[in-house]
Amino acid sequence: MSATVLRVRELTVQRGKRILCEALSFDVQPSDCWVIIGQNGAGKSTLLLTLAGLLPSARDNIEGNINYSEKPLSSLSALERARYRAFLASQQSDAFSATVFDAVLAGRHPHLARNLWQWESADDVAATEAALMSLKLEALTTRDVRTLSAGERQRVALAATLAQAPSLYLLDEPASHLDPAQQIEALDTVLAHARQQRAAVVMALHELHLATRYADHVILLGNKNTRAQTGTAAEMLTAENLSTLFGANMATLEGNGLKSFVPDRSQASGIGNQRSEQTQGG
Amino acid sequence: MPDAATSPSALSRQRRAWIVLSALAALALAVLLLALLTGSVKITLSELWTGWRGGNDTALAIIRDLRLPRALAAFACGGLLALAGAMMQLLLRNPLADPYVLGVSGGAAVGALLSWLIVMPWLQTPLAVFGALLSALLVWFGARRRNDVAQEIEAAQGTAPRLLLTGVVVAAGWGALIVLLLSLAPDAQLRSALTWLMGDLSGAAMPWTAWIVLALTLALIWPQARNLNQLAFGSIHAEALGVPLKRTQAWLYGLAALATAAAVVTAGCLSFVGLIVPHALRLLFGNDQRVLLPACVLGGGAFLTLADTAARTWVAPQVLPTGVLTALIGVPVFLFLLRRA
Repeated sequence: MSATVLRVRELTVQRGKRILCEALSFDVQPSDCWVIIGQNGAGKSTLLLTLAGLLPSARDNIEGNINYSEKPLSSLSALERARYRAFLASQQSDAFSATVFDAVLAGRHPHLARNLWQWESADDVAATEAALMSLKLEALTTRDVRTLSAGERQRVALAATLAQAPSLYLLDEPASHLDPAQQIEALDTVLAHARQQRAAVVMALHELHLATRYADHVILLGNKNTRAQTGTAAEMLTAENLSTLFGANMATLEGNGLKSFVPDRSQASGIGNQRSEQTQGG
Repeated sequence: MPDAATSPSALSRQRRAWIVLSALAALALAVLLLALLTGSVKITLSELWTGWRGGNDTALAIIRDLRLPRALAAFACGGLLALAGAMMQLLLRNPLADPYVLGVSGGAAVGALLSWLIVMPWLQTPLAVFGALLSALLVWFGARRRNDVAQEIEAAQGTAPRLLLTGVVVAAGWGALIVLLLSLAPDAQLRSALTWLMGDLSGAAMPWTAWIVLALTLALIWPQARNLNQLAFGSIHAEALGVPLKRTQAWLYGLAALATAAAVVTAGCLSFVGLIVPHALRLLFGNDQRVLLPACVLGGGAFLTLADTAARTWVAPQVLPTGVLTALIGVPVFLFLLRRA
């Protein structure tokens, strides 16, 4: 019964003369987790910015329709969009000092009344504290964000998106700067939150093992010669597809119920081009 | 500095904001009173009181005709410059931004000088505003990379040197124009023009323009404080959280230029007030614009009134240009900030 969280129809994004995606269509349902995979510079960030409605249209040609819960994105105000979707940029930059608490509390901004005099309520504080807790940031609450490590800052930014409690999470490299255990912990937390609220997640990921672990649907964002493809994770995440996408022979690694893809040995660049095919389960 | 600024409770934040602002307002009143009472003729509080009630005429005349306009002018200019500084710092996302450092004051000064040279004093304010706007525009476009979102995400940190270089070049350009205008000016007026350029409050009549602009600027920008808080985290962040980015930036830009121009028309190029005051207040009370913006008005006003009182009395009977004092304080503060940036 619930409406499609994000409906994209015939989306073409052009940046200068480059076409980043052409006639892309897909539907994101509640509790879905979509992962965007592509080479560096393929336009993952741009696609996410487009889906978030944050790309200035002047220099970019965007054609097609994007709907949030059946409402066209273009018909929504900045504040209405902010109440519906959260956007996590691939990098945080802090020009001014702010406490970790304030950085997370910022996520509550769209939910405060339009009246800009209004101060954060006890509910906003509670949501902030809950978000800090779920990303294990309680000990850092009073720290200045500029003194954090990149990984800590990334978790603070993730906590702010949780505090925003959106119906649609658009995350650009949510796992970047995090160590392997934290990647899993942070993404588990975000996805659990999203599923609990029947929200959907669309994220760009570099690590293929994270993609196989979390994605139920995948967008393969090709470069110039290949069109973007969408489908279920099982259909999309194959050695064959990924080899085409990254222009390298990808081998499948499987074990312990986990799966990933790595460039195989035959790919060794330059010297000593080994033929030995030793890739197997790990 | 783990103090109440970090306290999570929203209620205590609000209460704290009012405590901070009340304390600053009391401080501002005390400084204004001090400015009225000190000078070559000492006036006591009781003399002020009897003078007010129609007693001692000379004391009242000194205060009413000399010290009150000057103190009010200093207060308004300090508030305007600190507010302009805080707004430019948010707009450019750089705590080093300041109307003087970035040449916005210079642009306003050229406009004001021009009106003075062509003997059209009624054009002074409009020309100063125009000069300030033009300056701010040059800095804005010079310092920003092209308005490319993806690029902005990547390059958000590298803008400080670019911004300062642009500001220095713009300020140097205005400096050259000022010298050009001064060399065309009649010799008799040169000295007063030079003092004015250094930042001088001695000639100030009742500073109506400055006070009206100050009230207007605060009234227009304070209600947007919560949006500005988001802007401090970055423009994409702010837009993603529902801040109307273009409109907010346009307000900041226009009001910062207007406030700078009003201060320059009243008292010349007072340097560094827009840098020192917001920085000190941010250190003390945090970066919540709901507190910081009005605090800048009160704190900036108090700071400049105090500096001006010192300039009047330090080497009395000589009166120093107020701008000399603010520059002597501002330069080390700026260098300290630059090292930390």
